[in-house]
Amino acid sequence: MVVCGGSALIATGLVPRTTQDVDVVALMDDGILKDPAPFPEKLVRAAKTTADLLNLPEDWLNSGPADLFRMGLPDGFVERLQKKIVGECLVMHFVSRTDQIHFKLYASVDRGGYHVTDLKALNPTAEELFIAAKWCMTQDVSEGFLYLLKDFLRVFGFENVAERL
Amino acid sequence: MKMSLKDYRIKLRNSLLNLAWSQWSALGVAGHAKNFSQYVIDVEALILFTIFIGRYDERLFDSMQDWLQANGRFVNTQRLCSLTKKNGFLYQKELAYVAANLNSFENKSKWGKIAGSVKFDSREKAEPLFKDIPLLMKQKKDPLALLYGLERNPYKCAGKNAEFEEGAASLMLKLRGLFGVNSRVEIMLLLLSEDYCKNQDLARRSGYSWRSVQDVLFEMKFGGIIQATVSRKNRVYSVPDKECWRRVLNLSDGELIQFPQWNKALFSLELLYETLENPMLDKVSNLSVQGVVGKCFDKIGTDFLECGIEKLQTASAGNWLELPEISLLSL
Repeated sequence: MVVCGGSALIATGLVPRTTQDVDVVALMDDGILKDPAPFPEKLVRAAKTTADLLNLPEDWLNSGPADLFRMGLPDGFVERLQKKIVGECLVMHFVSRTDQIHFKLYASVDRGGYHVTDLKALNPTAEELFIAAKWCMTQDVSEGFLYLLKDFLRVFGFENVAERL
Repeated sequence: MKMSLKDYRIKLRNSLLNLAWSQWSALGVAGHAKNFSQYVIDVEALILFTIFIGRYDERLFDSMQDWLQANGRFVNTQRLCSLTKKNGFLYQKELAYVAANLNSFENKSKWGKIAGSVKFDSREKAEPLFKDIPLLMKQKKDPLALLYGLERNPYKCAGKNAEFEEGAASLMLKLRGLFGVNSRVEIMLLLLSEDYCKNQDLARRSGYSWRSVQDVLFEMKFGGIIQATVSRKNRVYSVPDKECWRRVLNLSDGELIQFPQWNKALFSLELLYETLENPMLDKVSNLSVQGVVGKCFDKIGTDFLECGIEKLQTASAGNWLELPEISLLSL
């Protein structure tokens, strides 16, 4: 499983307090990324058993970010994943800090709120934000989004990055 | 003061956020937080505390709103209002907004009064609900929050709550499931946590009027649930068979029922943080800061001492720098 969102932020020690759900952006099979939705039946059953055992919400394991996979992940995404082997049947891949910056920048412009706090906690450099912003423009190609993206970067204190787009 | 006030403020804020997260997690919010089980949680005090500290953590604020959408029926809005008045709660707009969100979802008469308690003059400029989160001019804003003069991104209920944890932490909610949302719950909790109580103590600590507590005590005694003993000066009340109640409430062996005065503890912590939040303090000497903190503790008075939380009882103007460690590690 390739995990992004709050769980990956915790697992990689980047943000300490988030909710308990695990957002799966892709599945990995023999080194190849696959669309996470719908989950394979055995994964659905295992998630249900875990929810019952640990008193977790029903959809604690979800494929909410599948659209990111479908629209295209950042270049070098797979190489940057942080691998963790859990038992004999499960390998977790946590999204790297660089890719979290990509996702959090997109979410900050799109939805704002705590994504902005997370992006701040990731402490990105101007160059990292520029690369992330270029990727964001492939996720939403509209003029309106570009306007918002530039506006956000200015408010976020990176006017020089906004001017370069 | 070895660390800067700015660093201390962040440390204190983080410890307060951790405290709120751990309590909400025990009540079923899906949060990554240390298990909290030592004390019975006061849900109304926690809501008010979260409205204050949640302005620094949108996830926490909205997790509380999600929880309320699912469990608002267990909240005593009358007690919520009474605690706001008693403690001079500052964030009435934020509370009214939370109530308005619930009002559109749950029993209107229950939350309507709080939702309608604040009127915003549309000529005034709306202010951001969350600290340190910039909002863009053209970004979508929550229309309901704007009605209360608050700017934020649109709130959407994630609906991710689990059941309450077993144990003492969620006892107030369990008892509300049994007795309904009324003063019997706080009275029973106090009687279960103490050997005996006087009517006046129960009224003072529960936040209900002396008269209504007396009526409830009469009915409970009449029903054989509690007993009354007349001493020289007073009539004291107690629960005759606490073990039986412990079994009914599914508490593990040796697990104590401790129902502290959370409102005193949490409002005192809030007052201290609000005092230190003043940016002017960054520019003055340590001695001046200590003077301001001293005045703050004058306002707090004996609230820490009386709160019933052992590790906070000794908090004072002399050891306030140690507070983040206490709140973080061991409540």
